[in-house]
Amino acid sequence: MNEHPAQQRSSAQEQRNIDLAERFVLLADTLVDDYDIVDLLDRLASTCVELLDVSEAGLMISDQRGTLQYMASSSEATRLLELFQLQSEEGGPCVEAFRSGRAITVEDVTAESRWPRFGRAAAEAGFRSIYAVPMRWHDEVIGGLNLFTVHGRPLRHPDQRIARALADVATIGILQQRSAHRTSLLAEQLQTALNTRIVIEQAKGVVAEHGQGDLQFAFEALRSYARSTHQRLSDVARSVVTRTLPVEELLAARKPT
Amino acid sequence: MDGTQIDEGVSPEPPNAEFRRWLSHCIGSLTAAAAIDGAGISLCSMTGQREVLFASDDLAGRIEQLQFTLGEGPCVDSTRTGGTVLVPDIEDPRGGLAGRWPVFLQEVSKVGVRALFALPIQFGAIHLGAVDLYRLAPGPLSGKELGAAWTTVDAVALKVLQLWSSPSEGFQAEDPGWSTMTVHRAAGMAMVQIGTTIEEALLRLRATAYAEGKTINQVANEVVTGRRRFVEEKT
Repeated sequence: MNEHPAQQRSSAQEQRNIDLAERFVLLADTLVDDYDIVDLLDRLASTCVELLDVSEAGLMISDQRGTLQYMASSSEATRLLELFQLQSEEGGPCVEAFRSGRAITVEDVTAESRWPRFGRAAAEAGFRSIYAVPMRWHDEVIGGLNLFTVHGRPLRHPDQRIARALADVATIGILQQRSAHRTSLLAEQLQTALNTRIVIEQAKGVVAEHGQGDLQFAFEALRSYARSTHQRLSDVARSVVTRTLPVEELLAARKPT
Repeated sequence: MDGTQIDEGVSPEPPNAEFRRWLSHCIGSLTAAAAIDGAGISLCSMTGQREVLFASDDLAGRIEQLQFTLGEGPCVDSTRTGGTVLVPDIEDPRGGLAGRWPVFLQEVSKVGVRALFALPIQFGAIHLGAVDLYRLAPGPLSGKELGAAWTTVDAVALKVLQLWSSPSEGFQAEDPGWSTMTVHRAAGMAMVQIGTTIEEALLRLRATAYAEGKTINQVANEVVTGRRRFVEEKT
């Protein structure tokens, strides 16, 4: 029995709507628990890659010193981190989205004249086009969501709307982090989020060095240990950096017994 | 502006005169840039010792001392949780402060303080203490003022770390600014390579950059990409 092409389209659309709804429910669910901000934002970046026609995604947030800092991404690859670092040093679409408060599209990184070094680095990393959405809270822009594609097709309009909605979830995630006492101010939450990322980077370095340098593996080892022991990712990371938790123990927990 | 020294707590390595002058200058600039009335700096060492490092005036000193004595206040909270504590108006009941710092609030109100801000001195898992800023009039720190405050905190953090870990190195007034995640990733790797603490590893990155005329970001990139390895120190 052959379906009419229009029917096929509509059932694909239906499936996508279900996927979307499920993802947002899952993200909302995470916000209820005592969640770890880096864990949430990393998942959100991965969600972008699953839902949208993009190959990598990442978030940068304001460090309140006039610079954007890498906060989360769909992969732990060093090349992605380098692209974020280059942006905070020399500008780029995410920094521009942050400054202007508008979404920025770069259709072809090789033809990008505004940020030539960034364009070259992005092309070398295998990317072709970039879409950056500002993360907003009321009148304030607190960071940006970066989407990278390997093909030259600009992000379609419905995908752009979903990207904006995901950026909003990221903003809410940062604002809703557990605070010890009271409703905290945005500036307090941003700083907490950034420091959480720093602890995790430190721990990733420690674990990667034990496991001979694979940062993706290091991150997953930290995350799976946190989940299996019902701890927050940042708490596990801190224990690793202060050597309260031996890396051997963390790595042993990954091996099936 | 002269820094008032406070003989409170035990300091394993009392800050030298040069460091104190630098702090005075640093906080003096911040006072103007962030429109604050004064600032105090308290440190908590890795062994759990606490000390007041600096106070810009008697009132700032009083704020630090009160927190030590009572065990409550913004700096105490910031040091314990590693978080930033911004209180634009201590009399605003919405802040929920009455239950949090019952005695401290009464005491600082008596001396006319209206706004308090505690910014942690930290790099990830490295906790060094907090910088307390106060205002006699209520009002939040603007984005620009907060930026100036963080820049000062970053500078103080590096100095404190250096003077604590290797006081023999002496005080270095100039320090290239840096703030990238690569540095922290590299510090984690260097910590294992050298067989040391995260604090020492961060300092090694900085000292290497200094000695070779590179930026700390360059050295960190070399470590992360495996082009540079540190060797374990024999003791």
